[in-house]
Amino acid sequence: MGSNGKKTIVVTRFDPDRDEVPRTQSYEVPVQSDWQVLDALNFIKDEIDPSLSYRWSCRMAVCGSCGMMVNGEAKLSCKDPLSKYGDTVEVTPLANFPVIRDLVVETEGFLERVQRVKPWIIRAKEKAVEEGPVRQSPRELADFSQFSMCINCMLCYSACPVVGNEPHFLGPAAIALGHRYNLDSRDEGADERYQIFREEGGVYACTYANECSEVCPKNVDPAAAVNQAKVGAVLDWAKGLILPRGGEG
Amino acid sequence: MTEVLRHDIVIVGGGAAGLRAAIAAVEADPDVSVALVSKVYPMRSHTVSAEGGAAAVDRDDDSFELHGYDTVKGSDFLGDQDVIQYFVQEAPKELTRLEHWGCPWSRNEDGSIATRAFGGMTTKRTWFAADKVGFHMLHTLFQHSMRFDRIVRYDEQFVTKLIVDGGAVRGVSALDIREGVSRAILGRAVILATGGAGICFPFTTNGNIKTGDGMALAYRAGVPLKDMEFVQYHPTGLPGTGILVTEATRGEGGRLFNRKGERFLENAAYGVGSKLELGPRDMISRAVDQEIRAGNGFEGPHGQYLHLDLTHLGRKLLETRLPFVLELCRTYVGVDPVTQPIPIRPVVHYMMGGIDTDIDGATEMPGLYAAGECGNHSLNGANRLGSNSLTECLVFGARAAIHALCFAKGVEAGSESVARQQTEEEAARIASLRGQRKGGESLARTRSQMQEVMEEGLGVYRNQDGMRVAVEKLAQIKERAADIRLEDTSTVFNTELTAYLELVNMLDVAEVAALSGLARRESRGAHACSDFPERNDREYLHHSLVRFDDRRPRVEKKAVTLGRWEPEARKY
Amino acid sequence: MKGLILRLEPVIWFFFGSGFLIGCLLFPATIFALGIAAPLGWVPAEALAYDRVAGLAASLPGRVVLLAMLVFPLWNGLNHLRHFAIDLGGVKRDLWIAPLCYGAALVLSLGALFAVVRL
Repeated sequence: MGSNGKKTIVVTRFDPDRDEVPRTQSYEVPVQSDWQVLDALNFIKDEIDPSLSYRWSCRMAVCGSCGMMVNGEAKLSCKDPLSKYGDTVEVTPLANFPVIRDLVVETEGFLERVQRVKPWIIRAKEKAVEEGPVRQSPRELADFSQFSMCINCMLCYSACPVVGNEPHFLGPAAIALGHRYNLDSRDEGADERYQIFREEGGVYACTYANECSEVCPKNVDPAAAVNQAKVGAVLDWAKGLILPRGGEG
Repeated sequence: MTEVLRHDIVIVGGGAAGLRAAIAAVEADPDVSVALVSKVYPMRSHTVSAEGGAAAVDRDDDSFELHGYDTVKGSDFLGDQDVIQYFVQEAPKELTRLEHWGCPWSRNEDGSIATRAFGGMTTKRTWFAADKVGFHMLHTLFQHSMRFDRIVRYDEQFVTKLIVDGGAVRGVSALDIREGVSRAILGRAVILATGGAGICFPFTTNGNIKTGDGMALAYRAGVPLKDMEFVQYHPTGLPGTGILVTEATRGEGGRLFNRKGERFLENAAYGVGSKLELGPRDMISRAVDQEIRAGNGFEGPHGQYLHLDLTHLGRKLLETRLPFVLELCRTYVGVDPVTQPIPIRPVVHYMMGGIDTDIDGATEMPGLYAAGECGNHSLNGANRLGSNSLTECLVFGARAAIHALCFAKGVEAGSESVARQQTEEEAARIASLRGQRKGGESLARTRSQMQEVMEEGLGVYRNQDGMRVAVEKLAQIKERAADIRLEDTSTVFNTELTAYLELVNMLDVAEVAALSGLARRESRGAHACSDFPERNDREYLHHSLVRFDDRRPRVEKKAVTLGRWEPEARKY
Repeated sequence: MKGLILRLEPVIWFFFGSGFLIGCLLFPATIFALGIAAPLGWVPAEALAYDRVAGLAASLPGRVVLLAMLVFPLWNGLNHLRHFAIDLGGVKRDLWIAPLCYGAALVLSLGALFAVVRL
């Protein structure tokens, strides 16, 4: 593909070994017209400054490693054409996460939230392999299919105003994932997850900003999942009033 | 003082094989403690990029015999038939297990599992979840693994050495990428599940993390690599990026055309017979390569390409069964497959070769096991059939774990002082690399040189001269690699350092592949030699082994396990 | 207080959601009937005669509808206000914003109840 002239990539740098606070560094990069933002970073790393640190792997928008802010918006850098930006492009680490180095952010808290919603099939009695696959109609599959598409890229946590404010908030992706299992016809664990959804930082902490769905690169629509989960959590709560369960507060 | 952590089983790699092994171990033994060590968070593992499906007998018109025969024939009779037999029998159980764990397999109207056609398979036996099968399998496994607190994850830890004591593996030394320190992780058994090494080549479907780390770890510890000359070229990669366009496109009815508008696979010389686009990958890649060489390709900014046409399949089918292909083509080549043909060319996709193991995943070294693409159980022989490898990760991941568990019960834990000493040596070596400014060679350029040599020497077609040149050049590059200049002195997330360690690993793997190829003077499966165009069962019906012995690679042979199917001409 | 609000979240959210629904359906319908259809003469004037409407409102179903139209949107608005404040200023402020908003909603709801019962 043809060259598209040069662009200045302004990157936020931070190395805890030497920097007190983050600094910015500009790189002049000769770009190709079919490049994504990630291609420019790889050019910088290979040709200009090998100390630039960022995560990436699949470069086909499915491994979820390369999330960052491009001109202030949360993006997967492998799926963000450079051509749509002007001569200067600003790349910063994902917002709302502690920075480890340069564009690399802390992932632990996110995975801890994912784990908190019990993202696995819960059944009173587990099926034996000999019984074969559980039947599930295409319609039942479609009920949760969209919410199973999350690649854990964490862009929604960067965009969500609550994540920045409320340290306990489960966040869009984790709630969408819990909701995905609640909607799965093979699962029987919804009441356990609804209880988690009603805890502090659960679904009701969401302030309906809808930013999560705006930035989602996989059209998971986590905002829809969160709002559906709110309804589900109310119904489950009301059910608990009528048919009291042991141990519920 | 260097930290020493203790577990019963250490698994290196958090993709499908590693996660399946971890789950199998904790399910089999309620007391076992498993360390899952990976240089990336498990959900970033390259399993995530697999698209088309996972094979297992499910339909009434199918049988283990048929799946077995297809796999043997696909392997060009280099697959071990006892391994294949076991694989096909376990396959449906493993995919069913994944169904029970929540994998969103696509369904027929009656709620049963839907299956699709795949290359080299006689009938529809490939289970799928639209065209994001690897993604769904990986996330299902990862999420399911979170149930078990006895699976202790060590994320973003780069294993730099196997701790070996008294001829047996005792654990690993792992560099904490975030903190820059090395730790010893002791295990009575170690399972390597680090995937393939596609980044040895410039044009590959593989993610940037696939650098043959586990293969190199085992190789340097004296464990041979097997059948490394067999590199699978996938016929349909997007020009420029090498992004995979799944074989499921052809399974659903996609067709390949050259510039003259010919459906060139109809040409009997290409050997796919009436299977046409559903022929095995090695044959179709050769056909595409030949068409391009004959000048029948389209001219594009990234070289010549052919067309994969899906336009006759209709929007509805493409949107329900191949949505990811639509997204990838629209995003990365600006083509809408609903109305336009997709530009494609062959691309490095998979290493048939790997760490030599037996049917249990056990290597020659006591306590060391391997599973998934980094291992070689002799399932795939000279050519893997599409959709066998995801299933392979499950079947042999689980089996390796069970056997590693048995082994672990019978041995004492390794010595802490030996582990500490070996890890401190590693830490010192790594510390001296950080910001090593002595040499003048560039890391990125050295990597590109290796990739170019591999593409030249071990392309779709090879020959003796080309492979000899590759071996020589790789030796030179290896020498120069010692003089690579590293500028990043930071201990925190130093990706220049890890890229260097990866390059060193790839150079070992690349050298082994070239040496194996040079020794095999015949054409079999994916190893197509223009100077030896025929298969030669009399001299070469054996596996290739390369062993690191006395600081040099040594090429050896290993017998193939035949069985009910005797080698015959491979015609479709 | 924080714990109490957390426990009441499902109720608050139910009120909020209902308020949203009423805001979407009943308010536009009312505006259409009173603000557009009546001035344009699409509804006969006697249908909106004071006595008739007052009688309608004072009937039991009328009072229930009236109460719902008054109370739920209150909770909808004040819940929004609370979350808007969180988005802007951080969760720390929520310690006093939440009681303030829901306190106001409660007082106003009781006022509405009083008014509707007295009708």
